[in-house]
Amino acid sequence: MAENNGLKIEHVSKSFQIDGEDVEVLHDIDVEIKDGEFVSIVGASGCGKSTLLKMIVGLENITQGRIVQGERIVEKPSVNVGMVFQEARLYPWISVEKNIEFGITTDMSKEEKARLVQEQIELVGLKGFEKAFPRQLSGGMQQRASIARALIGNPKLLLLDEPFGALDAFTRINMQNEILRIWEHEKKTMLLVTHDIDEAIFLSDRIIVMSPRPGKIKEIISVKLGRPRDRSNEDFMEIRKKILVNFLGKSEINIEYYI
Amino acid sequence: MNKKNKSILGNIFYTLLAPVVIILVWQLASNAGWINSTILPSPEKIVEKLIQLIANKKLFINLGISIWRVVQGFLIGSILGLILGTLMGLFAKVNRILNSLVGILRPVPMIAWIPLLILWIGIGEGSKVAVIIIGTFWPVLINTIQGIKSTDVKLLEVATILEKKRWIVLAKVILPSALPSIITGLRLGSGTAWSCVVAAEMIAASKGIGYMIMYAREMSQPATIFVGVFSIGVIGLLIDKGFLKLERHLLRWNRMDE
Repeated sequence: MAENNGLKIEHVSKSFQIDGEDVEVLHDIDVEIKDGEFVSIVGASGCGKSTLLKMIVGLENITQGRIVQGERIVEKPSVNVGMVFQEARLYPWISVEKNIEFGITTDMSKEEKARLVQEQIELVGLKGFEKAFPRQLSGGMQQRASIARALIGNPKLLLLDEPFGALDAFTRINMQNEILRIWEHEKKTMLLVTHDIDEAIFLSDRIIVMSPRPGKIKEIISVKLGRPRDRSNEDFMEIRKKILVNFLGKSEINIEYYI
Repeated sequence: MNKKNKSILGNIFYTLLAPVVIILVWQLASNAGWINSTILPSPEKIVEKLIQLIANKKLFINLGISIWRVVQGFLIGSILGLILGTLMGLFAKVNRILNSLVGILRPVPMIAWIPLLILWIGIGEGSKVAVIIIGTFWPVLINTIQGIKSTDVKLLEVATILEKKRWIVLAKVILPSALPSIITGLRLGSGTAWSCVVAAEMIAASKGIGYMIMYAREMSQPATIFVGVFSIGVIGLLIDKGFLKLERHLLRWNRMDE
């Protein structure tokens, strides 16, 4: 039997202590993500979607329930789970290639490391910028380096926390195509948090729609469209409408108006 | 002439303008007899004295001794400051235990330690180096703590997710991120170290640039005093410039141009 690299989130709740009072930010999240699946979480700010990612990666404690990644119950960070943040979070004092190399988590020879770094640099399209310092790169290129750093350790599950949120519209579309290409090439399970509905539809097999205070799963929408997807396609619009209904609570929404 | 050369020449002009004017006025006033030369010797006299002190090697011997004391004291003081600062920056408990002690001891002027140090270690090299150690220690300590504490949590999270060992996080994330602050501490420390050695030598020494100045006072040789004072200034400036250069080199990742 093949190794299972899916993710099970089993009745997970999360509370924070604020002024001595327990405030629930996530309520009974229960969802399973299959091995190799691309799933997005969309929701208004404050719905706890970033907190959920932090629990999956092992940076936050789980108040109730449990998360199982592959065969492992999540209690602390693991090399099996990589993460890309909204900010590239590169170390400004080392070059792009050194930053990517930092993502390597197992012992190996210098030559082997160099080979892996080169492979990643080519995968994310940063050839020629190996020796540059992060400050010398544009936002989109920094994010490419950050993705390479997350991928080089060969995690089974990649978490993306609004990775393109800080980029301009053109760079964002470019990066969405890139991440799709990487996903198809690397066949990893990916979980993306975003507030960009089009981005979610363009990339995902399924979209988890969350509602805030406390964060709950409102609906899970399957996107059964072939890739690459056409953002102006009628089915695409239909799904977008379905998601917007979830947010705005109205059945009649003028899509043209939204654009 | 290209633009770059022009701006360098311009820089030199503005840098030298004020000293040259002062020296000229001073020399003219001395020539005219408006200044009593036993109190304020003319620039010409001071230069004569400088040449004489260079020729009989007295200036270099004394400066050399002072610099050697500073090097020893600075190295020990900054290593102690770095180690303790790192511990205090990393561990809140250590910080809590030592914080009040630092608060009381740090404001004590270096000169106030000299009598005690002489009593403890004697009048030899030890007490002078000890003063410099103390002088270097404080700025390095404070800036190291500051630098370590201000490490970006977001960058630390990246290392946590990648399951990096604690010492790797320290060496590759915390210390590099604290480096700008640490270098500032070292630069300030080197400045204090240099003034400490002069102060210590003025109080109790038989060699060194501070001693040379005090001895000249007893002998009423104002020109020698001036040579001493100016050399202290020049060496201090060179030390500072050296650290700025080091800073530029080590923190080149921090600059946009290049």
